[in-house]
Amino acid sequence: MQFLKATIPGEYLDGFLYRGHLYLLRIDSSMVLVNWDELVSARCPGPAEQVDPLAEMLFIDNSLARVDRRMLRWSGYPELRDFFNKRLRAYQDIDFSLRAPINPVDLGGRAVHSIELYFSHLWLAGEAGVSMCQYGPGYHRKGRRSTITPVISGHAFSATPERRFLWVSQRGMTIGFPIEKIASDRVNVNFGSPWELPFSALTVGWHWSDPTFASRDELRSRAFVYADWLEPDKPLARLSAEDRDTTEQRKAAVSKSSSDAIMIGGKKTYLEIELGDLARSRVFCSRERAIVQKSSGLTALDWQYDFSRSDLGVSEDRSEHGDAERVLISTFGWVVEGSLGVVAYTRQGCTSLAQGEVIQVRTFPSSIRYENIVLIVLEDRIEILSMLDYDFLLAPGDRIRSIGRRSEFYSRWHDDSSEKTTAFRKIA
Amino acid sequence: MTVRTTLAPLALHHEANPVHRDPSRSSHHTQWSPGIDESDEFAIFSESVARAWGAPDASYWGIRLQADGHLETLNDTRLHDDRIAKWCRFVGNMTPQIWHGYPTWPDPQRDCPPQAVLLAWARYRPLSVAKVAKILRGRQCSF
Repeated sequence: MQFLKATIPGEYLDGFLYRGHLYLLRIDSSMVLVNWDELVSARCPGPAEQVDPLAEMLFIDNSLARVDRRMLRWSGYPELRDFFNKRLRAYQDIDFSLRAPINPVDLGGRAVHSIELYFSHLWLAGEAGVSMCQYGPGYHRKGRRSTITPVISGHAFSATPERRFLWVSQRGMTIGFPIEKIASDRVNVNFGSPWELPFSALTVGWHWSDPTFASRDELRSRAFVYADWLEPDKPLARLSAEDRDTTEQRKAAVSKSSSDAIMIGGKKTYLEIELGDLARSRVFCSRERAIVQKSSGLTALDWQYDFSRSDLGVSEDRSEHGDAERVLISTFGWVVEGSLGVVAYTRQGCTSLAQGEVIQVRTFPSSIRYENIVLIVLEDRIEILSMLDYDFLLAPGDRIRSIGRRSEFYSRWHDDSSEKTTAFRKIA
Repeated sequence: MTVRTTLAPLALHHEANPVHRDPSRSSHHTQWSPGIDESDEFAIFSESVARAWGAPDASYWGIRLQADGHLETLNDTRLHDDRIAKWCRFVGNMTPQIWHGYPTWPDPQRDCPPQAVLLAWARYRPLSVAKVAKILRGRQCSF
């Protein structure tokens, strides 16, 4: 698979792309905020003093993905493919050095090793715990709009915010703070009573709307299911036959030993489910796909709504990444961070993204704008890679079946005659 | 032996603890390398205090450099399943406070040196910022 690379020299611990801005955590725990859209415009100028349209589609909003299906017809002409490939070669490796004044962000002297952005809030994980503040380009002002507030003390390995919980991983435990109220235009976040898992989670993934945890210390996983059937105002009789079947399947999957349930607001309940042989592995998952790590290696699964599985058939190449340490699932495939480097597994095979140990790797699978981006922090630079997973760049005979890209999902809205994809398929 | 800190008038008293120099106790106490004697341990402690690699109300953390500028291995790896300690921790948890040190390695189950200290050491191989980031994020890290 091809990718384009933008390089930002400097010593950083972390970076995050969020709503048109690049948040950079320097090695000295100071942070800077860079207007990403302006930076791309400055480095990739196009006609009429505007950003180059191709660079905009690849680095700013991934809109190239949304024209894929229509472009397929145009790109039957080899001249058009040649034109695009020539333009792409011009952006193969771009210097994105930060020359313009950049905005420093005051973190109050905290020692921070990781940052997250979610819902226009900045989440800081470090040796003193997890803190947060509202920040960024949400709503109408782009500055910090609240003071930095501690959420939990004690060394935090990671903080993973999402719509339902803030998950904080610490030594020997993972704490979930139910998020009862959060908004881009409000400065306060209301948390419910924290829920504690007795192991330290390396990652928190979501199987549809249910949390799944890969253990940090060993090859083990636990998964929970949203048990809405326990809520009195959701009787099964109101469900469609299909949803009723799914509910029955989920009920059957609930672990017999499940005694602790995650409660949110006293009513939403998650119950632990049986993972079978998957419990003795690390399960890295997104909504509809999972990578299972066992001592024998990695296996990619098409992870269905009813917990059934089917092998996606992409084989692991350990010589490229060494021992797998973490897997990130993205819409173009999955990215393995290993002891020897970072590798992307895509429908076009295995592609090396970085050699050696890296400081941080990020993908943005839940961001429409940045779902094609891989951000890698190296010792002396940050590399921002734009992955080119577009059928129209290939000759018609070279096009192969997808592993489930969001662009195909969009394409189906434009063209209902397109073939069914392996992802976004709900078992009847 | 006593080392005076830059935080006058504080003086820290150091005595090597024999449990960290007794291979028969290696299952519960990490063992210094035979190449690090008690005076070496004190020299490492003195430097860590002088460079403020820690705090008197918590722990101090120390390293020793080889001639080539790399971090020296401080433990007897044969006694610890080949785990390699590139730094040591000094604790002073008795009354009256007497400090002693022991070699230790990255372990998500144990305390790790402060972020600023680890990053100060990251310039010395085989440590690197990538390894420091793994340690701070509780990931497995080996040398």
